[in-house]
Amino acid sequence: MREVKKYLGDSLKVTPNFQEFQNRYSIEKKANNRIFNPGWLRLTLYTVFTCLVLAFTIQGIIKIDNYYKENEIHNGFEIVESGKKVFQNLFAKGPEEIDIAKLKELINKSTILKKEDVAVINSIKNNDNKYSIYFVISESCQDVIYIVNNSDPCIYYVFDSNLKYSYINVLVEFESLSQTSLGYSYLYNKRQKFMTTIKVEFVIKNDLKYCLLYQTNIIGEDYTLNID
Amino acid sequence: MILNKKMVRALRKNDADMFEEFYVAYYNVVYYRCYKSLESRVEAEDLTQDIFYKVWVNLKNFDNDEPQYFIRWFLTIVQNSIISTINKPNRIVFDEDIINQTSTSETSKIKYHEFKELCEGIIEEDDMDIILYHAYYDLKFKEISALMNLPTSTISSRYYKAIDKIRGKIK
Repeated sequence: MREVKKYLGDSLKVTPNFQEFQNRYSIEKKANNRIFNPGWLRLTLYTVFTCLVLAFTIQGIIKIDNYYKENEIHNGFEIVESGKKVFQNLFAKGPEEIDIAKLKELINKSTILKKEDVAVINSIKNNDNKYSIYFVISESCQDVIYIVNNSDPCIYYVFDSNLKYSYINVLVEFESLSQTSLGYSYLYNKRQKFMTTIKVEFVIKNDLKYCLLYQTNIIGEDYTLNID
Repeated sequence: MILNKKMVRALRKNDADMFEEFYVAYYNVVYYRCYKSLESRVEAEDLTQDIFYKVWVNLKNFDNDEPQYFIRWFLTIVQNSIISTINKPNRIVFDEDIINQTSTSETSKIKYHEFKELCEGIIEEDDMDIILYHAYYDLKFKEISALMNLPTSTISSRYYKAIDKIRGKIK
């Protein structure tokens, strides 16, 4: 054995250098289009997937942000019909989620609608739907009352208000009650977009007729108003 | 290094520490095989590195824990790589005498050829390999047996017979 080693010396020997191999290996790995290496392929797919998720998330956030920016302040209850806002400028919210019988009772025993309009409501067949009443400042002169079918908000009735006063008068009364100068902005509840801060309650009187009570909160103070 | 199933399993999992052991143990065997065919130190060293890289990359594709199968698979990669290097149409054969005239390259070539000539006609080429593996690279008979796919007893008897034949000549 020794003779062979002596004869050949180190001529056919190389000292293995694993570090060098590792360095070379990583260089080759880069050169070898490592994106297709199974490990790297998995990592690449994860990265692409993460980027896509991030891109969609960012897009979503931007859209939501824009939606809120676009709809930041709206005084009015929004009903969308064929993508179009049917009415805005909601002044007050009347009773909500009432059945047809209660609706007919309120309409018949109050003076909010004209007789012919009351007949329209009375002509509605009894059903299981729920209804809401909204008081809306019209863009024309006459204030209006909306009666909305909650089951299908696209089905609604719009009537001219039969009230002897305009909604603006109610606002003025509130101003004098609270000794505060109120603008329309006061009606807005920023946390509940499209919702007014004024509620209308139908209160029965001695003669079994309903009168309207306007209720609101101005700077932390509750106010109730009966104009009838 | 005598491989066992556990080692092969670790290698298959691309265990870098295990691979380093394997690399160190088999480096000169691969180098010798490359040098024998290419007769160029630079090329042989390059190819040896390439072979180990190929082995590392393809370890996951090898699906057997049996050491003898692993060695056969490994040697097949070695053999195929050598053949494809030789058959490369645009293979650059370095003139090592020009690259470095005082390098060990020339010495290697001379020594190897001298030793080859010395063995020729006296012992078979396989026996020369056995002598080099055992007497020069310090491989155990069992390791050589795995490399050459021959029983250990055959390897040892062939070694002793062959070394006896050349002993007088290399003194």
